[in-house]
Amino acid sequence: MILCMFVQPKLLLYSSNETSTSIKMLISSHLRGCKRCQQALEQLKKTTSAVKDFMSIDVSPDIDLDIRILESIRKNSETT
Amino acid sequence: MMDIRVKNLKDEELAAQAAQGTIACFEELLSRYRTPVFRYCYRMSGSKEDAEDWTQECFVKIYNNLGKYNPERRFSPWLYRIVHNYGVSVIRVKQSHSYQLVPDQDLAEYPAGSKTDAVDVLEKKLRSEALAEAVDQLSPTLKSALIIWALEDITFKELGEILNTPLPTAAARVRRALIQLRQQFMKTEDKDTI
Ligand SMILES: [Zn+2]
Repeated sequence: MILCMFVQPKLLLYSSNETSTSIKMLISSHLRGCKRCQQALEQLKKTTSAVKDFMSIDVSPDIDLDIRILESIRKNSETT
Repeated sequence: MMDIRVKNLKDEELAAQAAQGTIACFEELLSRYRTPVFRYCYRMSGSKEDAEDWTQECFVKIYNNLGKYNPERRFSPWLYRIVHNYGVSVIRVKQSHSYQLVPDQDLAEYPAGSKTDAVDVLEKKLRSEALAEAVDQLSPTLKSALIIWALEDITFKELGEILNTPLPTAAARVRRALIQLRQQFMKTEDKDTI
């Protein structure tokens, strides 16, 4: 249980492979024996992929946005 | 001819030359980053119109700060730091009158086998407005961190560079955002079933 409290906050870094090797080994071995943390990891992965899916919905700016931006930079540098 | 040369340059080289006043290099950076910055702004602001205005503001800031950019460091985190700071500050102003703070303390762990499986709830709502609403409930800093991380598919190390925080802090912010989203969904589901 105490180990669960140590492991769960690190699951996000664990799933992105950004923990140290020793922490990674510790978490891996804990996960093999802990259903609670396995479920936490599973839920975390699902939430992550749901959020990433949601974020990636295709939207693009109007074509003339570049022109607007360059125009406003030009105006800006003229006044300064 | 000039176009081909510019297109072959790395971001860092383009930024260095743009800082010297080569507008073609800035235009190339604009064409590389226009859409990602716009998508970030769209997710932050929730409207296409605002997103275009914000994108414009961001690039003006990027241009004006090019003189402070150090070409020995990667360009992309530097750019996103400006974009992140801008996004957070605009949201803060927007929300300063109406925003209700969601307490940071409320960080229940991912509960195992809760009565409604929150993951199923999340999946059901995936394509709905609900996720957008839940994202809007996040504090500006968490929202911005989550959007950059999710949109750019970057490591927490890179996110830390952008947020100007150590790696564990960057990861903790994303984790807090994800937990809050899940809690929001569980609440929504409860309301629906009552
Ligand atoms: Zn455990």
